[in-house]
Amino acid sequence: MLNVHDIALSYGTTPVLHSVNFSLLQGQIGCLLGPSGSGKTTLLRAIAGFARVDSGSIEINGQQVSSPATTLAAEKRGVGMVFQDYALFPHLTVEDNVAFGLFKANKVYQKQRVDECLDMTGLGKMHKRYPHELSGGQQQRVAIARALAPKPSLLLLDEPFSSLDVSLRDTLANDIRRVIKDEQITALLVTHDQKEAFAVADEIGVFADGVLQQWGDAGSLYHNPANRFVASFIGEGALVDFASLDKTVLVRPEVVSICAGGQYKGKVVSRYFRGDHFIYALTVEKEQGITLHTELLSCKGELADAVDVDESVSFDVDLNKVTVLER
Amino acid sequence: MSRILFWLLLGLILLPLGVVLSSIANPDFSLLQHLYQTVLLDYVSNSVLLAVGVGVGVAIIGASLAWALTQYSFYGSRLLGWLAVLPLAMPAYIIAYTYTGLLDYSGPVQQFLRATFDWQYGDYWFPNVRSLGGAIVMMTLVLFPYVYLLARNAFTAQSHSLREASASMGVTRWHYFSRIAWPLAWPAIVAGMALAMMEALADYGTVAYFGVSTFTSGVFRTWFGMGSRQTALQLAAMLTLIVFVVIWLEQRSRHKVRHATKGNAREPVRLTGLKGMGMALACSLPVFLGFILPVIQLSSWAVSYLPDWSWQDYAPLVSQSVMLAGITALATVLLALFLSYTKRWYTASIPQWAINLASMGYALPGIVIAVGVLVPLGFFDIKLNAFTNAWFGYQPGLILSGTMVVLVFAYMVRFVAVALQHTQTGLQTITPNMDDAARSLGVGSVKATWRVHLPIMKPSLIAALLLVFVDVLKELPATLVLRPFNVNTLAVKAYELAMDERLQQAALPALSIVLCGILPVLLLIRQLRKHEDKYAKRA
Repeated sequence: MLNVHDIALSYGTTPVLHSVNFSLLQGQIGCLLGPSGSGKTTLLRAIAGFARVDSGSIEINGQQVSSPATTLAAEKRGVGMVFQDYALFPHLTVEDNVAFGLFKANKVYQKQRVDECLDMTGLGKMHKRYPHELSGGQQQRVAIARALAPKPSLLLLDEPFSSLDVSLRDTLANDIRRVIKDEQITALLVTHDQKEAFAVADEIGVFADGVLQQWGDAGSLYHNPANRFVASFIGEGALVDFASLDKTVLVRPEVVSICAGGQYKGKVVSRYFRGDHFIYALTVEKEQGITLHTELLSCKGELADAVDVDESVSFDVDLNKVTVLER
Repeated sequence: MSRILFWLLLGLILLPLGVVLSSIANPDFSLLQHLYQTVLLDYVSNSVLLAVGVGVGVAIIGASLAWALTQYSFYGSRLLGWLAVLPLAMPAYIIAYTYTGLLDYSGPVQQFLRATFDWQYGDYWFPNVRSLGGAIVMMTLVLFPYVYLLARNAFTAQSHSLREASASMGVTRWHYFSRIAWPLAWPAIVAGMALAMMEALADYGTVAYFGVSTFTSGVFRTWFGMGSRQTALQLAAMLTLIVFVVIWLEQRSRHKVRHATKGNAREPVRLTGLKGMGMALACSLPVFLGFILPVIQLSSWAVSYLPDWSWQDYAPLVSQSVMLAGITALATVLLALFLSYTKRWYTASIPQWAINLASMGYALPGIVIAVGVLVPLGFFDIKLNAFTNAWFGYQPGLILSGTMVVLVFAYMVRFVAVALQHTQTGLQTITPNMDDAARSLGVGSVKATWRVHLPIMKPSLIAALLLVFVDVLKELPATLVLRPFNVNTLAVKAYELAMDERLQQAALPALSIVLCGILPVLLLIRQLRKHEDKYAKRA
């Protein structure tokens, strides 16, 4: 459905994207995940048709829309977009905002489709309100309804939750996923928050420095990170060198266990309560054939076996479950 | 293409200022010597005293009024809060001749005194309105709202938590005012003072009517009385330099205006009984003296003289004023739109200072702009006539400097800042993402102009048109200098009649100007109320 092939792009002389490749199937929800300034929003804008590409090509529904030679105008792509600041038109009511892209259809269809989109996003009674009368979450829903109304073949969402309260994000993320799946639309979302990415997306691409570091589902990113950046960016964990393996490995908290007679010695620096378990941060004694790349190693522990801060402990690492990264 | 046009237009807007300032580059020392020995010291001292006097006056009245009306509530205080802005509708030269009529020897006040106490001429001392002091008082009465508005904004923006925080540290009310509220509001007060001082320096009508020699009346006199262009230019340049000092003062204070700590608005202290009445009386005095009393006097004059005004005299004044103001408003707003949109399209290559420079004209006295416009356009006309005469044996006449073109151009230079302010803020409400949103919904940029830009910009455009329109109606010095033969505006007519001591006859055109001037003030009040309501809601 969406094919991004070997895209490179620069602003003036500053390169922003380097040979990016990925594709989405019809109905899939993709996510571009990365720290701010990594180029993910630029990529989204290139797909929407707001930015030109220097090399490579973009195909939507088998039609080439971007190449260095030609850029199909954004208004002709049939790509819906939800903006970070929502960009609702302040002079129009909710229903007029949603109907904005339906100008080619007749009035009867317009009305029907607006009702449909507002119901779908849970805004059934907001027709006559103006954007400034709505809460942030409601504005967000209007933005989605507006983007969906013309039945775009592809929906792009730029940091859709970033200006919302944390408590709202989870419900909205669920709702958005449901709406997109109901409408059977292909969607691509940009975020810097991995929880959002995991909650909404089928496929996730991790971005850093304008390079797509890895493309895959949540499980493969977590358990098989392709490189150090992905390993440290996704989930908790520490990079550790084991003398016995002569390799650098990613150690997640759940593969470390504090136990009497463990192979390694360390000391508890802090303890976080996580509901059904604790997360400890440990310092590790030197000269035991294990070198941390960071200062602390996190470790998961049962509530029943609570260990106090400043206690010296011994622990084991389950080497069968660590992820080996090349040195 | 539009970028080239942008810079060309900017150059054109700055042309008068350039012409005036460049006269400094080739000073005529014998002329300066002569000026110095005769009138220059008068000009300098009177202009500076006028500006400083007005500055101090507006600061005292404006700041105390703002403090009283934001910190206390009493009978009529809410209404008074907005009425206090009304004097802005009253041009200084109109209030000046109104008070002259009221307070002169033959005016009702002195007549009343003489009748009551059976005094004769010379029996008593009465202040002379027609003096530098009088001019300071007149201008203070109509310009204090500048300080009032900015100070009011500064005081209301100071959050309740500041007061509570200081109370929790044992700070008394007076201490709070002197240590916190006042220092926080000070930059805003200075900025308001500077605006009033610019207006005072730019004034021509009042000082000319009172016979006070300042730079503006000096420029006028040397150019038209003595026909000395070079001297007039040099004087205009000196005045411009003084104005620059005030602009610098204003800019410096603007940067220091600290923007609103968020939080609850302060609940004003309720005053009742005698205290409340006294406060209400004291706070209504400035607006009474600066607006209500002069309007009553003008109305009574206008009514008494109405039978003698023939429609044939009044109608052409109105139609010419409205036509001139209408054409200028349209042209100026189009210019401002073009500049703002070009800036929006080419954000990277057009710096903000370019727009700021275009707005400079508003600070320049009308007489300076008039001189700066007349010199290059007159030069162009002369050259053009020489050229056509030599080649075609035909002289088109003064097609620029002798027609409405020069007047509209001068107005545009002076008032494009007003229009720019509104087109700029209007455009800011349309975020770049809204443009992109329209495109992603299949609406191209031409259609988006009609469906998104125009409706959102409409209030700003109307405001800009209205403000420029009224500013042109009120404008006096540039109109006096540049108007083509036989073109008369309400302002010019009111001024001329007043100069001829036909005060009653002057009242009708003067009152017309004041009534038109109320429109933008109402608009201003509406915007401010919205702004303050927003604050109240946030709290």
